[in-house]
Amino acid sequence: MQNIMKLTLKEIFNKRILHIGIILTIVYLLVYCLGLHYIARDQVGGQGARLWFTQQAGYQIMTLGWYMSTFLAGALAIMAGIGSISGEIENGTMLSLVSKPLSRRAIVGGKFLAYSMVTAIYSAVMVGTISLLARYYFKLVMNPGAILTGILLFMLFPVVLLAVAHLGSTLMSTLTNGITTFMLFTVGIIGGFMEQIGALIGNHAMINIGVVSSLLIPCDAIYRMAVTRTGGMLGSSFIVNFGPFGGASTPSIWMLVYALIYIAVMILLAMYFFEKKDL
Amino acid sequence: MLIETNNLTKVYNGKISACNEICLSLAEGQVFGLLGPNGAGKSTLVKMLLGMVHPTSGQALIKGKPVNLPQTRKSIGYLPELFRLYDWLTAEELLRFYAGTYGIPAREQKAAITEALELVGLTGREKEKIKGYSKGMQQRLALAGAVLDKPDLLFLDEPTSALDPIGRRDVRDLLYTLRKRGTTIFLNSHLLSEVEMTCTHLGFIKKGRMVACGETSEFLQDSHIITVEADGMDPSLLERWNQEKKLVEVKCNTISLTVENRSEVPVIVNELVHHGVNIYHVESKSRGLEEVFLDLIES
Repeated sequence: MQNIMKLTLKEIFNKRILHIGIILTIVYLLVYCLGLHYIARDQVGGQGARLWFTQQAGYQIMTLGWYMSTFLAGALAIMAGIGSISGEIENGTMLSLVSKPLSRRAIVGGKFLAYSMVTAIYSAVMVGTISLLARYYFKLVMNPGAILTGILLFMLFPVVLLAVAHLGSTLMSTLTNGITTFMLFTVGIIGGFMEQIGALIGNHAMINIGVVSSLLIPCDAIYRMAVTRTGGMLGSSFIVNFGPFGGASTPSIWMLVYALIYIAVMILLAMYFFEKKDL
Repeated sequence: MLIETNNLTKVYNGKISACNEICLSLAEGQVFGLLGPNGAGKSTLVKMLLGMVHPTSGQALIKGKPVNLPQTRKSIGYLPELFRLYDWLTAEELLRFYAGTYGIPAREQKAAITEALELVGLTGREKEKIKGYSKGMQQRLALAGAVLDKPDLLFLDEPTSALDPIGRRDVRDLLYTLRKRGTTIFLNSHLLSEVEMTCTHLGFIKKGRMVACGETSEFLQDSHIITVEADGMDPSLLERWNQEKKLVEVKCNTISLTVENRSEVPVIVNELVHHGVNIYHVESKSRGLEEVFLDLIES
């Protein structure tokens, strides 16, 4: 498995897509930074109610940055995972690989761990930078422990998508898997959105739709949990949780347990199906 | 036996039979050539022997162990027909990765890589990215990857398909070298002349069934094909030769006959003269693998 991990990491760092991804992420952070700069220049400062307002606005903008990061992290995870197995079968490199004294489980596991490592670190750096920028421009009062907990939880977000993409990669062609995983990702996002709105207006049917979609793919639940942990300890949970980007309907700790089991089951299934596959 | 299969069968989607009850035994040191037309089941058989395709029924053992176990593949090298390499690596990086998968200790990897590259004639090119290699060079490199850990058993699926005549000769020489080392080789090739020159044993597969299997010399005994250009041919003579299964073809004034032994050639000519046939040209040549292949596959 170690050999496959090393090869996959080498592949990731050799491919142009990662370099372009990093450049575009820097552009994204620069645009975000510029936005913060102009908002902060006009809004930050003052005393009493005005100070409270700018602090809450800062938390909201930070949450928005985290939410937008889910799309970048999600896209990276999906693009990385959809062809992990099927891509190598389609281009012919898999035949040489499986003829070596490696178990197919090691191939799936090694690739998944390497991609998880890269996408999780990428996500952590991105939301970490966003949090630091928001803190700098809005002079936000932050609990480093809470932010770190949020970032650690956020690192699970792309891993959930990767696990789904890996399973699909053992069952479908790269293109079909890409479409399927992206659709599932969208279902998760929309479900999460509806759950938040449902929580704000007190509509239980909408909350239930969100819960079901989170059971189907718990990526949005992980995001909500991460962002709630970040804001919950700031003494500003109301404003952070307010709105569709926050965590008005907060998933319980059991959703984290569910997400971890979900990832493990997806990967075990991917290993099982790849083991059974005729190449 | 190094390879042993017992009624190995693969049926796709419950109806398309790619391999049907194949029983095969290969002893160590043999160079086995698997022949058959396109779609006969050659690649499926090779893939089942490598654990890439799961048999519907039957069993395949290599050194007495099931082929789907990773440790069984420790002593196997494989060059796929439609191979593709990680072309973003250099040759050395690729072989180092393969060496890692075979569990070759780090301190021995350099020597193993150097030897493998030397065997396939790629010494001095190891630092170059594979994407810059020609198709033939990539095939050589893939071959280097297959022989890197000095396997006991080497599967080669069309190993010379991308090579020029010099490259083909080099691969033939390499096969001789490996054979001298005691490597058992399973060769899947459409190039009959290549198979004839290198293989000690042959197997013919047709519609998923092994129709003939044995030593190459058994298939290429002293049989000859005689081509006679003549007129005034006696129909009764042709009828008799046809019944004796000697007559291969009659075309205008030319007949082709197959005989088991070269000594039968003057007997045939005498018979023709005896029947008053005017002979203009007689040519005798030994029956090659192509004729054997066509006989077995078209029958």
